[in-house]
This record gives sequence, C-alpha cells and structure tokens, in this order.
Amino acid sequence: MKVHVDMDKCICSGMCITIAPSLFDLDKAGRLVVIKSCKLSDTEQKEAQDAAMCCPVEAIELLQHEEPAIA
Amino acid sequence: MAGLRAAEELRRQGFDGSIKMVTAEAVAPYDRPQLSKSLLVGTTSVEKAIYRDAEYYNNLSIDLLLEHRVGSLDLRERCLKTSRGSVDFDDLVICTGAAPRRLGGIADMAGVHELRTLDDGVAIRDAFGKAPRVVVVGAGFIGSEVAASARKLGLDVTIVEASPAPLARALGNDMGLACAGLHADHGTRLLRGVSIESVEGHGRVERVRLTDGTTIDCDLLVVGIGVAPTVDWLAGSGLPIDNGTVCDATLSTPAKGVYAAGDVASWPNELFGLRMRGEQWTNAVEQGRHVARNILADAEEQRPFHGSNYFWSDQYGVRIQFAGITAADEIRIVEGSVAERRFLAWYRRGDRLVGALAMNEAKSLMLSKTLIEHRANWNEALTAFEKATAS
Ligand SMILES: Cc1cc2nc3c(=O)[nH]c(=O)nc-3n(C[C@H](O)[C@H](O)[C@H](O)COP(=O)(O)OP(=O)(O)OC[C@H]3O[C@@H](n4cnc5c(N)ncnc54)[C@H](O)[C@@H]3O)c2cc1C
Ligand code: SF4
Repeated sequence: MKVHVDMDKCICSGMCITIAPSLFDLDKAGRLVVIKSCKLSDTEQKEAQDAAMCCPVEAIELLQHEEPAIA
Repeated sequence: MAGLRAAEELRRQGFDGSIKMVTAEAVAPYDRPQLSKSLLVGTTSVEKAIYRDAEYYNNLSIDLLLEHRVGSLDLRERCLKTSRGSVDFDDLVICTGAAPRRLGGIADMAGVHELRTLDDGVAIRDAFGKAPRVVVVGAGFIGSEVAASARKLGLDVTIVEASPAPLARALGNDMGLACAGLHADHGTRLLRGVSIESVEGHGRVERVRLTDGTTIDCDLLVVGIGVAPTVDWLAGSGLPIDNGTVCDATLSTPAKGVYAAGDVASWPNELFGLRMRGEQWTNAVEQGRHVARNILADAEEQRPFHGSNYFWSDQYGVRIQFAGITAADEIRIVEGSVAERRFLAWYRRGDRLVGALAMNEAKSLMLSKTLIEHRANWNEALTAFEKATAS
C-alpha cells in the first residue's frame, strides 16, 4: 500500500496526525507533511485506512500496489 | 455521511451480506461541509462535492436506493415503507441526520433559503452570482460560513443574530465573541440581540424588518438558525424519541438490531458522562463506523461509543477547530491570543481538561483532542502540553 495526499484538497486539519502519527505530521507553519508513504507495517496500513476514512475532505488516497522500486 | 461510512466499514470488516442505502435524495452522498465553503465561492463544483460515483457502490455491492423517501418504520415486519415500496432488513442503521429549522411565520418567498442539501447550496451559489445584498439570519457556524463566503465574493452582508452573544451555546460567551470578531475584521455587519420580525416583498424578498423596528433591504436571505434531528418518520414506530433517536451507550436503540448514528442519534457519551447528540461531520463518520463494528460483533462484545465532539469551521481563511464540551468552570488561553486570531483555549471542568478551541492552531488542537479523549487531568495536561510544544 502507498499513501498519497492530494495537497489541493488537504485543509491541514490535523485529523490524520492523531490517527496515524507515524505517517503524518503538521510542520511549524501548520502544513501537512507525509513522513512515511510506503513500506507500511500492518498496523500502519490499518491506521492509514482509518485516517483516510476520517479525513474531512477525503484527501488521503491509498494506492493498493506500491510502485516498483527503481533499481 | 454516517450511512456511507457504516456501509463502507461493514465491507471493510468482510461482511458479505446485502447492504442497502436508502435515501430520499436524488444524488449519492456528498460533502455537506463544502456546501457553505468552497461550493459557494466556486472552488468546488457539484461533481467534486459528490463523494463517490455509481461504479464505487457497484464494486462494493452496496445497493444505493436514491429517491426512496422513508415514510415509516415497521419493527414487527422489519421493513421500511418508502415512497417506492417497502424495503426489508435484518439490521437497521438510522442515520437520517438533521434538517434546518425554518423561520416561523413567514410566507414562502423567492430568495429565502436554508442550507442543508446540495440543491440548497447550488441555489445560494447561483443567487450569489447576481450580486445580491445578503442578510444571514443566525451567527452560528453555518450562517457565519455563508457570510464569509459572500464577503469573499465581495457581496454586502449583514448577519442578524438573536442572542447578544453569538455561539455562546456552542463555545461559551467569551470564545463565541472571539469567533464573532472575525466578521468585523472582514467587513460583515453583525447585529446582535435582534431578530427578524417579518420578511417583506412581492413574491420575493425585498427587505427584512427587525424586532427593533429597523429594516434592511436585501435580495437574498439565508436562514441558519440551527437544525433539528429528522425523526418525523419514526413517529408510531415505537422507538423512543427525545431530541433524536434515544440510544444506549453502544448506539443501539431498544429494538434489537436497530441502531442510530450521526446527527439523529442521542446517546450517553461516557467520555463526559453526558447524554449528547452530535451535529458534526466527524461524529457522523465515527458513529457510522462504530455501529458497523457493533453489528458484526456478538451480543456480549457491543462496545460503547466515546465521542470527543470534534468539529472545524472555515471563515475568512481562518480555521476554527473545537473538541470536547464547553460546560466548564474555567476557560484559559494556553497559546497565542484572541487579538492575533491565532490561539488555543482550554476548557476545565473540575480537575479535568474537557474541551479545546483553536483558531489557526491545528496541531495544538489535535494534541488537546487526544488529551481530552484520554480524560487528562488539567494540571498534568498543562505540563504535557508545555513539554510537547517546547520540543
Ligand atoms: C452547510 C453545512 C456545513 C457544515 N460544515 C461542517 C463543518 O465544517 N464541520 C463539521 O464537523 N460539520 C459540518 N456540518 C455538519 C455535517 O455535515 C453533519 O454533521 C453530517 O452531515 C451529519 O451526517 P449524518 O449522516 O448524520 O446526516 P446527513 O449527512 O444529513 O444525512 C442524512 C440523510 O438522510 C436523508 N433522509 C432524511 N430523512 C429521510 C427519510 N425519511 N427517508 C430517506 N432519507 C432521509 C437525508 O436526505 C440525508 O441525505 C455542516 C453541515 C452543513 C449543512
Ligand atoms: S486529515 Fe486530511 S485534511 Fe486533515 S491534515 Fe490530514 S490529509 Fe489534510
């Protein structure tokens, strides 16, 4: 699974940082940063799904397949 | 909203039985919070506001029954009587939300709108395009957002608020005033302590007369004076109704296999020891998902729902966020200041942190929300907060 946030949609609510703190954070200016977007553990995958369902603007997209690593 | 998330969570948990979503609306579920925000200023289109297309529901085998208005619930036959025939069920999730209160005593007139549905949003957006003079009734969150959107388009806006202290019920006096201060910052007139005496015009609104005798000329009147839970169709069902559908802590009604979620559900929230009914998007999402999990769980594994009552509001580019409850012994600004329009305020009840309000402080608010959900002791919370913000 790969996590992508549509920054045009994101309103920087911070909802996701409470649900999946190892994946998302807000920087000093209050903008969302994705700390980790791939190679998620099982717990992180579950948290990512929860965050996606709770994001007020549905900005979090979960791509089912990780893009193949570029060798 | 609660209905959509309940259905999605059922599928996510592997439920493979039949799921029917019954709605009176002609369109699939959509993003209600955007109706007063980006839809009105034109940065979101109708298509973008609709969450999912037909294909999505097909793929999840969710039967979306549009334009099926439910007239009544028959618990003995376990079916809903809708405008297009009856729909059977084993388990039922009641999530009919809430509907706007209407201004009493005014005749139907063009140019007078409430805002709850996509159609309402489109009608107001289109009316905004004709450069109207706007009067908004009610300085609650929805009224304030409509006013802010109108100002963003350069329109002339007056808000008429019956209470001397706007948002007092939602946020407490001082914090309500702090939020209402945004209107003056951005050139919106806010009249407090007056209400609408009558609405005048020939077939369409031309002016409003206020209880203090003054009149305001206007072409568009938007009414945002709160909502009431949609329970009319439950009359005669035998379910207890009291400010919504009365549920237990697990969001179950007294009828077996019948649950409620979202704006329509009243439940004892053990987090605060209070019976509550939410009117927030996140509450609807969380309750919808919670009910789905309880439907799939055994009788002895029904879990109570603890909600922290989170909501956000966007006005004039300022993000207001709140979590918890406002029945407090003390409200303290713990970060920033009202004057800067950037602050975090905490609500203390006894020795507990029970609420937090922030303007443009999303991260601190989210930290506070977590503390509130953990029933944090006030002094310990202050220490934890200082530590977290120092790092
Ligand atoms: C303009 C606006 C802005 C908002 N902004 C915010 C915000 O910024 N932050 C926030 O937290 N919350 C906001 N909210 C509140 C949030 O949208 C609601 O809390 C949320 O939609 C509640 O979800 P629900 O599923 O309980 O009800 P709803 O979303 O109202 O869904 C209920 C559905 O049931 C249908 N229905 C009702 N009766 C029947 C019947 N008899 N038969 C068939 N169908 C029926 C309705 O048509 C509706 O589609 C806003 C609401 C509005 C209107
Ligand atoms: S929850 Fe959604 S809107 Fe909020 S910060 Fe995360 S991605 Fe952005």
